[in-house]
Amino acid sequence: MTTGADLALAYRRGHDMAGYTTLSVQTTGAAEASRSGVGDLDRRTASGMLSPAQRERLAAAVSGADLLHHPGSSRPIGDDEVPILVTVTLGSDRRDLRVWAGDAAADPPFAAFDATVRELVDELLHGLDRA
Amino acid sequence: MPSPDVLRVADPATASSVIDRLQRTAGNRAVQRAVDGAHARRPAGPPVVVSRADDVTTTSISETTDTGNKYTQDLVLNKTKATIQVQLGINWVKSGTWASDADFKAFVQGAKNAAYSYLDNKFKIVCTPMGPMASILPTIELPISFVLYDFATGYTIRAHGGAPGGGSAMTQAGGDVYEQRADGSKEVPITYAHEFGHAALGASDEYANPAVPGRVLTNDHSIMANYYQQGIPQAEFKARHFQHIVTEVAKAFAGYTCSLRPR
Repeated sequence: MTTGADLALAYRRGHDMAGYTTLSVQTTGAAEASRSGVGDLDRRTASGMLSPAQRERLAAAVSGADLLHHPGSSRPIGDDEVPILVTVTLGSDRRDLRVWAGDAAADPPFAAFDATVRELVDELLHGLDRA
Repeated sequence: MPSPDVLRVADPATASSVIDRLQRTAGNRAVQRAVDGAHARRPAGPPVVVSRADDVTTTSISETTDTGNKYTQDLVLNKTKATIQVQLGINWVKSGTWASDADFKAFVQGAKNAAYSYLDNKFKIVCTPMGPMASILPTIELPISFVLYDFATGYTIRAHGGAPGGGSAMTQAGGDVYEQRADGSKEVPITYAHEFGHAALGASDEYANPAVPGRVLTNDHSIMANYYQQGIPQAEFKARHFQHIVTEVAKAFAGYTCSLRPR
């Protein structure tokens, strides 16, 4: 279980029709978030430092989903299905992961990670700090 | 053209068999002319009427999208009536929350109506005779229509009512269409027509998707592209989405050149 101090994450969910949700977190806690609506319109972005509590929530979600060993999706993605692309770095370990929305929904630990990331994006976009 | 003598047969069953065989080999008009000639030489009697079932062939057609999902439909070619129909049997499955069966059925009908409004009778295949027969045979125009019918063992589409909403999508194994988007807003009809671009035509998406890096992107108001950016009112299916149907139909018109035209 990491505390978040050695965690870096690049998360991108979506495609041009559905719009995107992104979150990038550095090991320093520096974060950038964005969200766009359907058609990739109405994009909003925010950046800031995650609070220690936010970093711990993210680290717990990464650990809970065991992202470093997650197999990812092995089937062809559906037409219009939303992809979730994640690059996670924990110390010297790194994993690039591709999970399709349907598989994510059927995988509770990954779904919990996904929900946590989207909550953090909301908090960054709304300037919230739930420390 | 067959000799009128071959029509002078004694019993009606044999006559019917001969006429049927001639119609298949020589064509309806030639046989009708032969019968008319024989009738003119006959003593007074009831007119001879030549009729037969339409010349209809049904072919299974498939297209695979750039994601690797393969979609299959029936292509029904009626050469007698000069029509083409793409048929897809659908097993609609009620999912999520619907206030009533009537609401669910109304949603399904609405999704089909959206698909029909973009697909049905928008294009025709025109087959033009070539070579020595070019001045004799007529050009044939075959409008393309669609039938999306309920079929318990057909292509499964789950229709999700109420919250939570989601993103409609199709796969080879089945599809999902949502009454509401993930953000709770009402889905727009064009989305259902877009989904039937996959299920009924096997057309690939034409917008950027980071999971499909080699995708062909378009900017010509295709319904398979990003119509939110390019404009929903201008969105339409394009000739390229029907090309596989032209290829299949052309096989049935040897000696003709077949191409797709807007109706």
